[in-house]
Amino acid sequence: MEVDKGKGEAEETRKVAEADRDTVTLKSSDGKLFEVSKEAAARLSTVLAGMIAGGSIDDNGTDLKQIGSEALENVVDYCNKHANSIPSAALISSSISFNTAPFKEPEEWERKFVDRLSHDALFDLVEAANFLGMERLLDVTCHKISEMMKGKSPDQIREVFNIKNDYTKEELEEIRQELAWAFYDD
Amino acid sequence: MERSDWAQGLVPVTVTGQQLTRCDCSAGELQPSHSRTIENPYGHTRSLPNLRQTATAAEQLERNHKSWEMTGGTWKRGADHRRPTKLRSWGRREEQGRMARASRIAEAGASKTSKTFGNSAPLSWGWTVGRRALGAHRPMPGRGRPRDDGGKTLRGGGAASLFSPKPTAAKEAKDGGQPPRPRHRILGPTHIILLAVRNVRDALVLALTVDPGRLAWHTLCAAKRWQSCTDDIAALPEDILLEVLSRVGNIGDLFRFAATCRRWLRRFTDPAFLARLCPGHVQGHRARLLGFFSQETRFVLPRQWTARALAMETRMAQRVPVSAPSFLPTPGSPLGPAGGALTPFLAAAADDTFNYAEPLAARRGAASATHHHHLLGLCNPITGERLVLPPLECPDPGQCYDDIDSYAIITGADLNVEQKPTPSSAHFKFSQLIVTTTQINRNYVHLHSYPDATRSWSTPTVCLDGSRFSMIGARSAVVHQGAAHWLCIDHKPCPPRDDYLLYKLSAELGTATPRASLTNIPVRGGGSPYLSVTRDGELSVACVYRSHVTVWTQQGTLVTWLRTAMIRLPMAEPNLNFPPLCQSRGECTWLDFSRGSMLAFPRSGGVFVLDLEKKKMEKVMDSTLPLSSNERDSGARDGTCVPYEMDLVEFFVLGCLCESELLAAPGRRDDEWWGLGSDFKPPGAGSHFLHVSFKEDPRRRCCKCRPRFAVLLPRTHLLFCYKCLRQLLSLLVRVPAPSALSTIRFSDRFSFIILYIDASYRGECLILLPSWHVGSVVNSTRFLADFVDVSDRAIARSSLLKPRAQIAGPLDITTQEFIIIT
Repeated sequence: MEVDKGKGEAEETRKVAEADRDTVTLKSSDGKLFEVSKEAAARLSTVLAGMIAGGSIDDNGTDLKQIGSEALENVVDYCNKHANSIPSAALISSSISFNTAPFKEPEEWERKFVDRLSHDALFDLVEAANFLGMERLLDVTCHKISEMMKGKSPDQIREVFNIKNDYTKEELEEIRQELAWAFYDD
Repeated sequence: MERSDWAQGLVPVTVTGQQLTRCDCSAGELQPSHSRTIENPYGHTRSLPNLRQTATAAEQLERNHKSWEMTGGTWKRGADHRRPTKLRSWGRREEQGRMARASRIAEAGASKTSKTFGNSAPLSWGWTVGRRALGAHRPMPGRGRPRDDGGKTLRGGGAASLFSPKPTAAKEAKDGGQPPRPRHRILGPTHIILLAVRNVRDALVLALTVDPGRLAWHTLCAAKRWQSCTDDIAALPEDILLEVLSRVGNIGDLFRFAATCRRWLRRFTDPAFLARLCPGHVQGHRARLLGFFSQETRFVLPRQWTARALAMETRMAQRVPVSAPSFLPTPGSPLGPAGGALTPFLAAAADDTFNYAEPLAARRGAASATHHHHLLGLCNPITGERLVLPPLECPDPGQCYDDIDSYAIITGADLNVEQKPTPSSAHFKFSQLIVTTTQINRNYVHLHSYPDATRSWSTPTVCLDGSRFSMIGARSAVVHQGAAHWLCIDHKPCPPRDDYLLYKLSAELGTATPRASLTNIPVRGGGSPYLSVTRDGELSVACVYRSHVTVWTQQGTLVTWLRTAMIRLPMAEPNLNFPPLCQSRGECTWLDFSRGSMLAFPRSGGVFVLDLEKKKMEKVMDSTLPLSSNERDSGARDGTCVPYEMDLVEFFVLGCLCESELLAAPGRRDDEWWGLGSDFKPPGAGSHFLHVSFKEDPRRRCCKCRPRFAVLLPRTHLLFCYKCLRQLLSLLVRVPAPSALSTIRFSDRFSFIILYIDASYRGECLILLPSWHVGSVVNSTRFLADFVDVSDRAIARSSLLKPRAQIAGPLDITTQEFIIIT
């Protein structure tokens, strides 16, 4: 780790000491502490990597005010699991575009990881991943959500995502007729 | 998290009826600070539910706008009341317990303040921004009546000052005992303004103006996200949402998702959103290319067929495996990266008539013609409309046509360029098909027209002497300024050089019997000439040579043609799979594509698009397509492919909001509908406004809705938009004098201009807005500025639409004003 020479000596020592530790402590919005290996955090999250490099990691727990404890627990869980699994070339940043979608299918453990999450937890995790700049996790979770959307009728989609149907019956019928090709008729 | 949200100077306010409560959020929880209070049931939760409820309440207001009337300062249910639904289903199932409690509290709170308010929820929960942000707001301009007492509109003061009840109207109501039947449906004096702030990180300022008497609610400030959906997924930041949606991939899934609720539909018809959804898809010509209708191994038709050959052909066709046309999307196509979403549709659409039909042409995305034997059919793959045309008539009995040489699909948008009123028009609606045929043993080329209005073929007219001229270039016509054009060459005078005389065969559109004219194009033709229309709307000829392309462009309406570009074709790529594009002419098929670009299909594979203006060549896709039949040089066709091209926004609008029969037609006018008095006379020629007529009473379609704003489409149409956005295309009305409008600089992509015509104000309010949705796509500062400036001016001129008002003159929307907006 690069140490900024311009900083004071005490600072430097502290940083060095910090760098020696191999875990980072993260603090959720409600004050719970989580530990995650520094290597995994830096590798998986651009934000955490930046914080580590910038020395803004707090020994007593880096405050992540945007993330609830549940989501953070999942994040940490993911980091640990990812550290255990074979690191793959999966960390390709994906783009929004249809054109460039080098998204790698989630691996088995990742699939399981997101599958076991509740609906709420999944959405929280997406936001957390977004906040922490964890591209792979974002990929995986977004993929999961899009999977939930695929091949469903509007009714099913409404149910899954808890969307309130605000059309009247007649309007709905009209839409159904007009979009007949998109609806599954069977 | 809550604290960080609230701590940024957000002042939550609660509005119930006319009661305003400001709350103190310093403790991270909402504590009513002063004024009468209604407990905020969501105060302790995250900001999201509050926002959700804001939206819910606003929606509810919208939904119930008819059922509430303000009488003497209290709310009363109108005669046609429907029981307002309780606030519910804003959250997840797990939250329903909390929700139930919330609505109990809400009811209690509501009944505390106003008995007549009944069991409805408080009008809204909203969050206002602090002074700074409020100061940035401007009063909603053009709110007609309530504008005078701007006290309740947003001023620099605190939120509380916003909601002081309007004294005058309330007094009126009291004095009159019974409130007079409001002329404008502005029932209540209050404008209830909800300002919703998601949190500072997202810089979302969502301001909803809810006038309970009518269905107006607007976004004052553009938001980074449109956060008013009540569902989980809408709570996601837009970036993530786009990530998610882009992974869905299948357009059908997206449509179904868009159809789940109004907000999603609205969002999916928002060009800005779509542009972000498919970022690669908004630039360049590639973007417009959605894919190809292709059909492989088409059987080779005998060039000169007789009745016997015809029979034989039928027999042989049964033996030859001919595939039904399939759709091959381009890689960036929103029609799905892999699926070919239209293929199943095509298969479904292909009943007996269209089995093995050969795609001939597709135009304006919507209509494509297919040709089976000598039957022509049209289908719109997106809307599913199909039309099988009667067989072509032949002037001489016993003769039949050799071949259909060329064709032009005309849609509504084409016909109105030259102020030709047509019976029915819609931008995408098929209105005419023109084909040329060559007769056996005769050298005359006949022109046939099939107008959609009459649903029969016109009498064929001779348009070309085949012994002297022959048609060249693409088979699909180029439609330009109210006529369809093809290229012809005169092969009588054969100059020693490679040049030849080039002619333009034009068929006039919109006439009962087609009229054709032949004009010489003073261009040194050579190579393979192709006609096209440039981005600026000029006619141009691109002559494709072996190693270069020369572009000649007509200068305005003049007879002068200038050589405007010479483009070197790129030479061989190192990849062996792609030998030089231009090794020989026969090895590369060219097609005219939209707006000054051409498609190249080298025989070696791949599809390229050549931008004639930027002189760039881009690869669209790698796959080899069956060679197009649109070239005239080959008698044998081993396949055919027709590019399917459409603007992305058009695509979604059409897909989501396709309409069928409701169109403007002369003969009946519904002035009342327009809020125009019966003495209203449509302004004469030269004015833009506004002879609106409907074939069918639009109210029947959507009784609750009145036109809220109109969209001026590029060129000639006004599109009236209704409360429910899916009605968007349901009223497509021609502007009677499009020539004046055509001077408006519309950008290539759809840039919509919205004329805000709020019928509940009886047309007093006419605001030009710069975007598709009121404020949902532009950034806040710009939007506000435009909003105010333009609307003020527009209002001053909009008295035309007042009922029974004197019509001083046509509404003068000058070009300048439009340019300001765009």
